[in-house]
Amino acid sequence: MRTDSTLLEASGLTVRFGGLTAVNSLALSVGPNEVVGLIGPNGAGKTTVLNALSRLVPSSADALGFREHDLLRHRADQLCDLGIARTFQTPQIIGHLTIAENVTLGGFKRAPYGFLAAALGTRACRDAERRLRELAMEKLALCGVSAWAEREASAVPYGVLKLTEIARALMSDPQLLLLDEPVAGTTQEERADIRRVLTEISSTLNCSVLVIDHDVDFIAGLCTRVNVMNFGRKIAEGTPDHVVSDPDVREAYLGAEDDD
Amino acid sequence: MSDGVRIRRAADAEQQPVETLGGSYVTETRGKQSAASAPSAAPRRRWSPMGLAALALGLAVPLVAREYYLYVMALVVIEATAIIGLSYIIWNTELVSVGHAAIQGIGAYGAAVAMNQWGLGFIPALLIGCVAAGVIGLIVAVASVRVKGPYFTVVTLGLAWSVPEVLLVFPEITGGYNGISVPETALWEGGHQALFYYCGLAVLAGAIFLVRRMDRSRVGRALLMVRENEIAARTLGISPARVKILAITFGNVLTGCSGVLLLYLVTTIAPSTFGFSQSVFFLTGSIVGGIASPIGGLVGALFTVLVPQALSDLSGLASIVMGALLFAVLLLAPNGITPEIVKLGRRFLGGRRGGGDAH
Repeated sequence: MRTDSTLLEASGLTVRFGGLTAVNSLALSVGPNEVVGLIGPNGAGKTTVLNALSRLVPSSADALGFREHDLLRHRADQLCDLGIARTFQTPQIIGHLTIAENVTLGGFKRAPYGFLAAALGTRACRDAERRLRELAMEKLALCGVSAWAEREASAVPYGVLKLTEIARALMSDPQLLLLDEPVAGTTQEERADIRRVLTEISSTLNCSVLVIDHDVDFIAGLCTRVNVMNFGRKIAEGTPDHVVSDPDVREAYLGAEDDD
Repeated sequence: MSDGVRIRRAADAEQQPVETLGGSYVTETRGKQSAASAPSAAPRRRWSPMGLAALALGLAVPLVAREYYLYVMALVVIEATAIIGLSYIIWNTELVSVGHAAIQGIGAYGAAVAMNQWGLGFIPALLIGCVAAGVIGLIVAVASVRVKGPYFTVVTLGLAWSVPEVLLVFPEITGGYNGISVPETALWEGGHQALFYYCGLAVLAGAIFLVRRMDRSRVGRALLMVRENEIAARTLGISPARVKILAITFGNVLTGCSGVLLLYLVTTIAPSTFGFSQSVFFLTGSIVGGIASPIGGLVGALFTVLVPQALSDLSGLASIVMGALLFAVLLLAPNGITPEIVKLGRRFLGGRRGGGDAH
């Protein structure tokens, strides 16, 4: 299952909230240029896994490696430099900024002019701002939403916000993109758009993707390998076809859905 | 988080008609959308009619106000700079400083000591004052900004109380209770009041300009993201503590600068000049003017300087009227009166919609 040069390698990943063990000794790996899915019923701990990987919640692990780095030694705001970017279930987009301005927020580390340069408006600062903006437009085009660039974020459809957040995450040219339910709350057409964009990202950008979602069809169509979680544990791993036919998975995930 | 929900609601409402058109909006509306949005990208924010009107009024002050009145107006522009520094901190970091007069005092005393002890001129002393305020402010920020909750406010409260006391400990340098005097500035006492006023006005205009520029810089955007959602900001590589410390230091340097100008205006300063009540006055000015835009600092200074002057005949009643006015502003214009003035001004003077003025 594992490739020689694994990009992300987690083993024994555990997250506890007080007495509750949200993630229990999970093993997870993502290889270069791989699109890996993480599915499971509500409350299985999927988002917590992503939060642990992005160092937003305290976690313990036997190993939590990304390339040659030990993620346990890094703070959340340092992961962007290592090459890990992420999105959120509800897009964290600033409503009163335009879509393009929101995307430039992802380039905080890409325009490293100082406080003084900003205050004085030096040429270096103006050049950096211009490059940042060009980069943002490039990422928006990649995500197929450049038409919305100058619109205020509070006035665009939800699917555009989802794609805007992906564009913002791409601003740091990540090697690993963590996506928390990229199609939650979107329409069927939006799903197709987002899937197309993600496929393109993984094939052209040299970027691996770890994606969480409820939508099994979406995950199956996108991922080469799928992990299934329930109650904080991994219960299955394999190709989408293999996982969907796994009896444990049917009982835990699909069975539960049938009961609804 | 709440903002995310709000955006989502707006988006859902918008989504309906798009969906009924069928097909994918991302591809469908592309041509139409880019055509519609093209013109909006062209003009950047420039001088607004209101800004020009305010500047013209500011420049005209020495034509109508002389001696005492010009002195009061010079005080207004100086205190406005201090309040802008405070508002910048509150707006960008959501941390409230209740010891801002102490920071101003550090700036003023720094310059006074530089002039009296080291024999420096006005401009080098100004720089010393700014640096002193910035450094002390930086120490306070580093010590308290990482911890959530009211710690920053408590530390600045400590600053408000301790700075005047510390000044009394070294009377040979600071002059103790009697304070410290600097040689009367050739600018004010030498019959060049208007010139001094214009210097203060230039510093105020510079402060407004700098704050505007900071808001649009990468640090300004990072602060915005931190304010909106600290967790999301961290995943974008932004260290909330670091950008907050930067913002606090920037605000404190502006305030320190105002302290030096205050010293040049009044020529004698004492620890009591920078007491806790003055800090409360700054906070009042911030709230009354509105913290979102630097113009709010000017409006706040007009309120906190002119209203007590106008009410000085009422002696004891002045504080009561002042309190009542503050209460009225909080009830009628919780975001400060500047956004209301801007709204009114737009109606009469026209000018651009949206943008940085009101937020």
